[in-house]
Amino acid sequence: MKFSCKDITELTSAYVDGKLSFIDRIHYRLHLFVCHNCRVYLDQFKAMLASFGKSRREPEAKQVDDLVARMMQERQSKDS
Amino acid sequence: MDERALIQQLLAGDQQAYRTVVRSYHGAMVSMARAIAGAAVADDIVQDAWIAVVRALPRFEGRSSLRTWILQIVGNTAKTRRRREQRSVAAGDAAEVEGIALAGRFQPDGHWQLPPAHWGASSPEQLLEQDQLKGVIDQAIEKLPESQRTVLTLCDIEGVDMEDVCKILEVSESNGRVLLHRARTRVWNEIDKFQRGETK
Ligand SMILES: [Zn+2]
Repeated sequence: MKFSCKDITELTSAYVDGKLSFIDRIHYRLHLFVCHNCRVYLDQFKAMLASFGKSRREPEAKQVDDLVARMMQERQSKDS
Repeated sequence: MDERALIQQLLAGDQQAYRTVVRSYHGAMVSMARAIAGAAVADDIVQDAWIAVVRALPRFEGRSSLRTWILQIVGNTAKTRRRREQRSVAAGDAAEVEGIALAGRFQPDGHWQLPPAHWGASSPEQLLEQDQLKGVIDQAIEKLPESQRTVLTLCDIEGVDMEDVCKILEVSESNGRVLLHRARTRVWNEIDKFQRGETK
């Protein structure tokens, strides 16, 4: 087995971001095939990343209004 | 929405279009400004950057995406401000690249010593549903070393391309990827500790 469990955890971002070489990708998958703990790790890691993607916060409405008002003002001062 | 249509609306002064871009990009701009010039002046910088966007928009040539272009403007605004205040650069220093987040979790031969806990909440939705767990994740992100937090926030939360983040923060893409992986691993470890019942 080319990769240990420790190696797998170190390569997991590269794996999910598609940055592993073809060969390393195969070795990574081979390890997962035989290792339950690392499969669990990868699933949790992916779930965590998906939760990050859903946790983006937008600015509050009041702040958006203020900024847009200021930008509109800037436009007008430029036009006149 | 089609980006070219959006830009036309911005040029025409459509308030709804301005609202859309502010809602979409403001958070990423604040993270970028904070990383370059510090939290104390980040909001200020982003306000200035929005005004700069309004002024420069007629000259936007569409060679990059609108978001990339806006982030470059905030990056430049923040760097000017940093030079004025002579703040030293923190992004991407070596100490933050090194360091093992999962120390003590492996046997000498590289097998798990302390394998991943069973996570009661294991889908992305469940991770966000539980207030306490959500708090653990937010806190873990806030506690990250600055450059790790910046890269994670911009790439994984705001969805900005790694390439743009690295270019504007002036770190190599390989360093950026290491920072991102360290950050993710630390947060995973904090979630795991919580699920194991080690944190309050
Ligand atoms: Zn394993």
